[in-house]
Amino acid sequence: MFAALHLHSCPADLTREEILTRLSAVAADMTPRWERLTARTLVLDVSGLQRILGGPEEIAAAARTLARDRDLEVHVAIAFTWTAALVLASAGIEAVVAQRDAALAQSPLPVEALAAVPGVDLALAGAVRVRRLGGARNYRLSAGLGLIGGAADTATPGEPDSGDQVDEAPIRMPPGRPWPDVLATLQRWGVFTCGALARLPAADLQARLGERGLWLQRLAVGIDPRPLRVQPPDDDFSESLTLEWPIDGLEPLSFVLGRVLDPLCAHLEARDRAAAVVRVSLHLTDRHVHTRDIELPVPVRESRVLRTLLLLDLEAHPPHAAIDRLTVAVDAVPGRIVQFSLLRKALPSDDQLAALQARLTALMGAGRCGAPALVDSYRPGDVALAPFVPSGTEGQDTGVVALLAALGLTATRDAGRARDDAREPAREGWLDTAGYHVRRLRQPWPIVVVLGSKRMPTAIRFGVRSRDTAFRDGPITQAAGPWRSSGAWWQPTTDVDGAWDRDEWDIALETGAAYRIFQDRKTGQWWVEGEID
Amino acid sequence: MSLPRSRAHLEALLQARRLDGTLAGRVPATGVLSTGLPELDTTLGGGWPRGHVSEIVGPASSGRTRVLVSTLASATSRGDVAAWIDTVDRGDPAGAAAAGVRLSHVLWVRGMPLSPGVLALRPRRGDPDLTHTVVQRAIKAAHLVAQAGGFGVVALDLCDIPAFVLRQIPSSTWLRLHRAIEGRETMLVMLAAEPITRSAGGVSLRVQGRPRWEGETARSCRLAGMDCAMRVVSSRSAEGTTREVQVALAG
Repeated sequence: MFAALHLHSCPADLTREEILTRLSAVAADMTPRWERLTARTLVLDVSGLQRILGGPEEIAAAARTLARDRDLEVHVAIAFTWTAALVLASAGIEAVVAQRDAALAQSPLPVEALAAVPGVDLALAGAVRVRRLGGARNYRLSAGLGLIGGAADTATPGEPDSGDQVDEAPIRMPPGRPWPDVLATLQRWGVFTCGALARLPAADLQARLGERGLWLQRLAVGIDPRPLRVQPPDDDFSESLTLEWPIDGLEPLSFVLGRVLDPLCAHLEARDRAAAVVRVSLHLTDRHVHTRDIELPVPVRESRVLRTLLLLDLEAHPPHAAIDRLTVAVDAVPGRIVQFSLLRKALPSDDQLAALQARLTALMGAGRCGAPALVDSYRPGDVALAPFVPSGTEGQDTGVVALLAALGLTATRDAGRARDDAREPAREGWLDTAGYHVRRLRQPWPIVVVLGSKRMPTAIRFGVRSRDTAFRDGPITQAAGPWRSSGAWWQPTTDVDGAWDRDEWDIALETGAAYRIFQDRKTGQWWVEGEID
Repeated sequence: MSLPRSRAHLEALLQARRLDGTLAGRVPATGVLSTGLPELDTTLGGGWPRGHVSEIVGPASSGRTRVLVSTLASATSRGDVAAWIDTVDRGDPAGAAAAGVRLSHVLWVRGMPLSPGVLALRPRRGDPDLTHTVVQRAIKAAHLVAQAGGFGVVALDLCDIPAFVLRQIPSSTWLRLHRAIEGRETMLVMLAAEPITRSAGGVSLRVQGRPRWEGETARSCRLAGMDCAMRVVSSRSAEGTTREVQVALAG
């Protein structure tokens, strides 16, 4: 749980350094785990303070009291991600956001409110901005959430600007179009609020705005771009090893990594921390430094898992010269608490799944493994892949990973159109529920069909000559159809997701095999869609 | 040395070498997993034996994939997670969802989508064999999943792979797969046109089916399901090694 403190007002005679010192003192009085993100904003990790101070409201009141003792007026917001807390506090909203409500809490805010995150330059002209932000009263009406403390004023005095940004812990963001361009594009689309931005299909957003658009969408639903970096760091979690002889190749590197990671993981375990990001720096013999940053899907402190993930990443991005020295550093976050239940099936742990999926991706290629997901489309055979995050409970998945999965933010191209299982029963009326399965050819195979009376298919030729393949020529003994199917008429037929217009048939051959075939109504060409099995 | 003593001695040697999995009944099943078809479950004595490699074999359009989908539906509805190694990417998630599979509990590993023309090719000497590469990758993926643990079902779909490619795979490859799931709650099922392999405690299910059509006239005719005759060849230690069951697969 995180609390964000945003400076609202202070005595006019205070210098910037004095403000920084006083704000830092407020944070340090609350918890040793805090980070200064801008000159006016701090984020505190307040997990565990409940036992000392009470609930979130009491924590917020304590922070306000400590700030007031130092002649500072601050806005305090508490949420389960620091991004949500930061955005709310910077917008002048003093709210306590439950675990799953980060996206809901941010949804009424304008997109420009995301400028609270350092590095995001979405500032508008003053008058427009004030109107868009609207103040706490408008927020209360639109969000329907409870606010803590008194209603805050409109957040004009303490708005972050580029001059306020602190450079000590910059947030790395993906390259892309300049922020004003991104904002202008969103406004042309009529996307003015974080909620509207969050509802955009991820795949289409990525196609139009690139990785930066997806990154902004993650912020809009309150997902942290990186873990909190404690200032000063609570410990130095890094290990280095200088090699007597340069090593070349991943196999010897595996042993060296083991020697570095074992003490590092022991150190993490002793401090009840886990790695959220691993940074590997390989000093090469040609004086270059090969650096890789790996963001882990879940905090990990198992040496074997980390070594496997590092090796798989280095296999995909190998150094171009032999290695003289290596350094492994991690961004540490509090360790996970895993509570197993007697009533739940033992599922593979998140660590195991992360390592397994990394191995499978290295073996089969990117975007070739995941959970199959239905697509909101009538196109035959349309399919998407969603992140594989099984949950033992019958209800919806919880946590940021599930939220990410629901939004399809880490999935493949089609994931933005993927539907979750909860909507599957609604499809029962039109889904193919017969007692057979169609083994689909992803690329339909062209065939020659002989037509009889009333244009019924009577024979089929595949053009494949092999004694082993299931696709053999022969007369058709039974045919059912045609069923006409068409859609996406507004798109060119040459596209992957282009228009289709066809007549489908189910046929059985003398050989015993049964197929689903179709005729393209525009070209007249016959194709095999799949084998009925 | 008497016959029982010789046998005991032989078994002790195999156990010392950790090869006792090749003996029928030495590694007991860690439970059963329902196939989702009550008639077949009765014939199998409750379902597929966990901790063993079983296989579903049959020619094209015999209903073998539908039996697999039914098993996946049964497993995922009980909270198990399943992996579907789809060697040449022929899976149909919409059909699987309609059959009751919880898609969020299925790890779908999609191989390279080879066309029938490529699968029918026999490579010339010296040329890389694409089909062989694809099969090797699928087997390695199945091995990775089996080793990771925690999965209730691992399905390796080799239906569209020509028999001459499968015959080139050394038997030690299959033995490694057996060993990966031995004693675990995972059931590995292979889907193929011809028998490939099964562990000593596993089951071979030979499916022979034909499509069932409904409708009196040509215009009202439609494919309604499959009529399947399933022949079960179970472990060597079981009584009555071969049994048959008729199953009508319908929507």
